[in-house]
Amino acid sequence: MSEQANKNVTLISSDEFSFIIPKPVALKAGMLADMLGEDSAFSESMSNTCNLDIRGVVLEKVCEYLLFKQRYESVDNKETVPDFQERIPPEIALELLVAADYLQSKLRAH
Amino acid sequence: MSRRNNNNNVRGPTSALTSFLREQGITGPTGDPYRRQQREIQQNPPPQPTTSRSPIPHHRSDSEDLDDDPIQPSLKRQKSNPQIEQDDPYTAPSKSQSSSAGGVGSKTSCIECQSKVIITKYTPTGPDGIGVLCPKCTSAHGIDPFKQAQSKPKPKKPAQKEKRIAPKVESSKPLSSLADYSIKVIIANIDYVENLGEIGGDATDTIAKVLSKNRSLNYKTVQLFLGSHQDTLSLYDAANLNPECLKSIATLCPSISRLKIAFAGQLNNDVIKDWCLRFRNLQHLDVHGAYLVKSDGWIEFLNTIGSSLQSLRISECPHFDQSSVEAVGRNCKKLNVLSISQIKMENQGVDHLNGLKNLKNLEIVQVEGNVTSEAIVNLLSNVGQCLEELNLSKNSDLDNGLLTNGIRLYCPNLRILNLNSCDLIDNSGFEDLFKQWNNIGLKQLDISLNHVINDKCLETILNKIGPTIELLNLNKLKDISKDFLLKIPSMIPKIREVDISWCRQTDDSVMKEFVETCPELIKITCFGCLLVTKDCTRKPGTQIMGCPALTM
Repeated sequence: MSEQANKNVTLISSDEFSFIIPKPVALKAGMLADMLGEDSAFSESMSNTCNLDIRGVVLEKVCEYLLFKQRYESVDNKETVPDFQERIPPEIALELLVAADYLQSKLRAH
Repeated sequence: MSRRNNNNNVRGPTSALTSFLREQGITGPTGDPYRRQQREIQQNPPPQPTTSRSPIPHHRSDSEDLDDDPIQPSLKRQKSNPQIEQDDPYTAPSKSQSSSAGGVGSKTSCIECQSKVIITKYTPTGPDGIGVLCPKCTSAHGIDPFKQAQSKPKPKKPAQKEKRIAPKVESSKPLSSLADYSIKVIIANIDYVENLGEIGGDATDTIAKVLSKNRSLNYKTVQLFLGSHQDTLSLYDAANLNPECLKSIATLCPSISRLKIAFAGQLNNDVIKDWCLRFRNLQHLDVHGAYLVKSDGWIEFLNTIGSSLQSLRISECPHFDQSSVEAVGRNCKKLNVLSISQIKMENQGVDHLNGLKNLKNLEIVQVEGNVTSEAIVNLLSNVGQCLEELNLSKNSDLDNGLLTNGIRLYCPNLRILNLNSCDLIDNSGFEDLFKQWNNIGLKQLDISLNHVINDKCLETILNKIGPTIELLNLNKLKDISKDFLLKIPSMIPKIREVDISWCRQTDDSVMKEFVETCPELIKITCFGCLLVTKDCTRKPGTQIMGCPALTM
């Protein structure tokens, strides 16, 4: 169980960039959790690889957000949470919005 | 005066306000030493005993006063002058005390070493709470005078408060989602963004949907979609757009031909009259939830724009009433698509629509008021010939007459029929229609929630439409037997989507029959079919939706 949880997963963008992130981090996104979760019987969860129809530059930001979320989700009040907004380049904001909606990161906000 | 103060002094601490103020550490400027003593002895002594307690009473000298006292006299005067003040008990003892002995600024001697001490706010009391300590003895006892002076009333309370607030703040501030962050960035840069016209219809529509889903469509984000060359505008959640903003849509996109606006809670008469003047090319209009547009607004709008409209969809607009429907009938002769749902209308209203000969799609759904079969039959006799889609669902006053005298006779070209939740239509009505209907073949049929339909009736229906049907909704036809359910798949070879939710007898063998027999089936919905197990047959390309055993 813990071995599995420590595995990495590979997210592949539409322009063939691969992003390797820890599985628990990937599971923060609802859509990825459905694809990669232990309950799902998709080939993605067997190979721990997802092909996503998202451009690399956008997917990179998605991964960055997931790591950011992993890091700051459970901090107490004393620690200041940096504003992720500053890290989003305006030129990809719209694409990122669509990608975020697709990955349903909102559903697992907690 | 002093007597009154003494009395007050006795009474004061018993009142709720007084004790509350004391707890909060609110006190007269000289109160500290006195109050500490007072709390320790847990009673309310008049100034006298207090004075007697301090070892050697001294008279105050003016020069010693200078440090702490300069404000005191005026304060005391202010407070004692009204004489009704609740603070009296506090000002009074401090006054009597500082003037006699033991108060701030007075001289006394240390309880330990007998050296002279000038009492200040920070002078600590002796070990037993009696007398005072000089600075030397204070440090010898390891007491931090500054800490002690402030500590007793204050630090406890704020600390507790902070603790109580902390979890609340934490729970009310979860991490924002990535979508929220993106929207913030978009809003921050909205002035630099050209509108999305060039991106392409699909992407624009997706972004509009996502923004609406996040309830972030406001006067800023809506700018993404506005532009003079825009042809289509879909606002899926216009609840946050105020009338001025809605007006600006018509100003900025005057040549728009397709407008969809949902949850248009702030769309009012003013705006819609403004739209009449500005939209030059509006052909397709879909409005949902425009509660504020009154009947006269709709009529004026339809009189001006109606003649060019090709499709009109109105839902949840309570003021779109019979007279508005009449305006539709009078003006909108080009209409191909008319959909009115959740509005108020009677039979006469339906009659106004008789002139719309070009209608291909007619939806009259969930009308409040008594719309009966006769009126609809009359309407169909006029417009039925071209109709391809007919949706009369959720009208509880329609009966078998609609099928026998209306649809059967006048609607030969119908491809899509929706009659869900029409409670008065029963088996004989459906049998009449489907036995003798000269129809070219239905593609979609929705007869869900007509509880009474039985095997024989459904067999008649499927015999007629089976070869052509692609989408079939049998939701809640609870009386269909398992034997017949097993027969259905072979009767509907072209089926693509089927809904057999709440057909009680559906089990694994029925599912297997559907999945294996229907080659083009892509979706089968089976909510509430408790006999279907996890092991039911599945195949790639066919989606099983709602199966209780699979979702648990």
